[in-house]
Amino acid sequence: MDHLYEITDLSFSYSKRKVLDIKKLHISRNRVTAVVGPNGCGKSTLFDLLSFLRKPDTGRILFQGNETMAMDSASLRRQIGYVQQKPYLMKMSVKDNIGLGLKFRGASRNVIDIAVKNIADELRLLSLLNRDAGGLSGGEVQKIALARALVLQPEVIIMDEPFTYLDETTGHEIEEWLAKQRDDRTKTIIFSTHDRLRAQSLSDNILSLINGRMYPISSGNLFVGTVDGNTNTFISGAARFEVPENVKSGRRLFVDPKHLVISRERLSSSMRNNFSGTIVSMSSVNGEVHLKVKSDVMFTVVITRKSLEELKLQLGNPVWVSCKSSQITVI
Amino acid sequence: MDYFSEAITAALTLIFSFDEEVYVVVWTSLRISFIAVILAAAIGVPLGILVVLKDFVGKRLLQQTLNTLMALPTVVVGLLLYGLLTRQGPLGDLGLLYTTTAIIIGQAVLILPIIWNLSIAAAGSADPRLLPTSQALGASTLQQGKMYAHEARFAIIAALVAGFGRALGEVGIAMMLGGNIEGFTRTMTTAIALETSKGEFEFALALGILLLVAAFLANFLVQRFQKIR
Repeated sequence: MDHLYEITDLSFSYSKRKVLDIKKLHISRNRVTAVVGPNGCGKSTLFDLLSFLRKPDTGRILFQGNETMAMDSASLRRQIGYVQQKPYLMKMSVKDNIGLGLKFRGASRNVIDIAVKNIADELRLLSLLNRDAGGLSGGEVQKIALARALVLQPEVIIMDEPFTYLDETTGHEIEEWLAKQRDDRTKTIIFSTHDRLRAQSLSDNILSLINGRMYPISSGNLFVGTVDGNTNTFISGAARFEVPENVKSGRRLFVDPKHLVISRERLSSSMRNNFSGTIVSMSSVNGEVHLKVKSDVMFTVVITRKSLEELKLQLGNPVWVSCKSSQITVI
Repeated sequence: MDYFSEAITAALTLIFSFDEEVYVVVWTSLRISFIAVILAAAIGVPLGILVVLKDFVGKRLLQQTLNTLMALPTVVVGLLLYGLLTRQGPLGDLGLLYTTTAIIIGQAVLILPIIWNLSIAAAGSADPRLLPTSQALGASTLQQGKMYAHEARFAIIAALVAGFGRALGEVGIAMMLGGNIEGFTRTMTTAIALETSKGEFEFALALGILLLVAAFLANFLVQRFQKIR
């Protein structure tokens, strides 16, 4: 796969506290990558490095295959569209804010006007163009900051916690926009969120960042479908899940891969959800085993190495995947 | 008491009859201090923004020095420049001593630390996200500086007015480098200082009132500016 960023042995410290320590990280071109992690895990610092606002203490960042340490930061930055957490709008009109990056690049007034109008139209911001940047809502500010980055047609769009300060409507708009980018596969987008479900439903790849280190994330078990409130079931394709009784609506169902129980025979327990399938892939990650089980849907199951040995599981084995309805989340 | 009230009446008469001698002095003062502010601003504002933009060794020392220099005694500036500009001095050949140019240079030197230091404070009070935002949008160092000047423009104008007030009100430099030559280098402050002792109390008082009015107007303008924002 084509990588936009290739990072090796990266570290970064504030005074003496190490906030980032990444052995290896590749970010694919024309894909949507989500970085998930709790507050203070180093997401913003990582994004500052990816947008070349800071330089790492050690390590290499290859951008488009080129070593960046010796390159001029200013020209590298011009290839990045960075929407920071809580974006700052300059004390000028919305229109001038959106066109600012183009102005820095020496574009003519005419070119800027046209480009600004086009992007404002796409993001439904036309009515705000002549407003002053002060006194806008958090959602409007976020969208303007996104427009300000997009208008530059950068190689990559980096968005730090784009959903944090948003009202519901704008949140949906940004979600829709991200989902569309993911499906179009024409832009490289990296965004961070602490909401893992959102990350899973909007991205191609997920990276988990905890205390400055990267961990692989077990993706999967996020299914799109509809809730049947009469029977308390969630229907996704051919699969029917029994969901908790209080669930009356929702479009996505999530089960943590660690909450799924795998067995050779159908379990005669209180678990209401049982699916038969076949193991189609097995991989070992950090001492755990990640299994993909093809059933009515594709399940990801995480088990310990010990259980793998006890169950004597192998590729192609028929198995049962079960879980309690109380461990299902519908959003 | 009669002496004082009569003097005030006479001074007001001079002001409202638009006495030419009074207004020539006022105009000379305003012109000199205005040009001094422009000169000091051309140097001090960019330097102030640069100090905020860049980290360098000795930054704290520089700011402490500027703090000290803000209280520079005017007669010391006058004395040093006199030494440079006098006939026997290294710049004596320029023949600048006792000209308005000499006063302008002296006042610019006097207020440079004020404008420089207040520009650091002005740019430093801009939103901390301004720099990373400008950088992320691809601004060069010059463009980043322009963004600071734009965002902090009202605080910078306030810095200029503070410098103007200091220049307009100082007397040591204007006296030592200008020489209070009538119709040429006589400023409001040198006239007040020297004409009083010559018995021209009403004339000095009229200038004193106008000096206060000028200071008041300058501050009024700054506050109007700040209200716009």
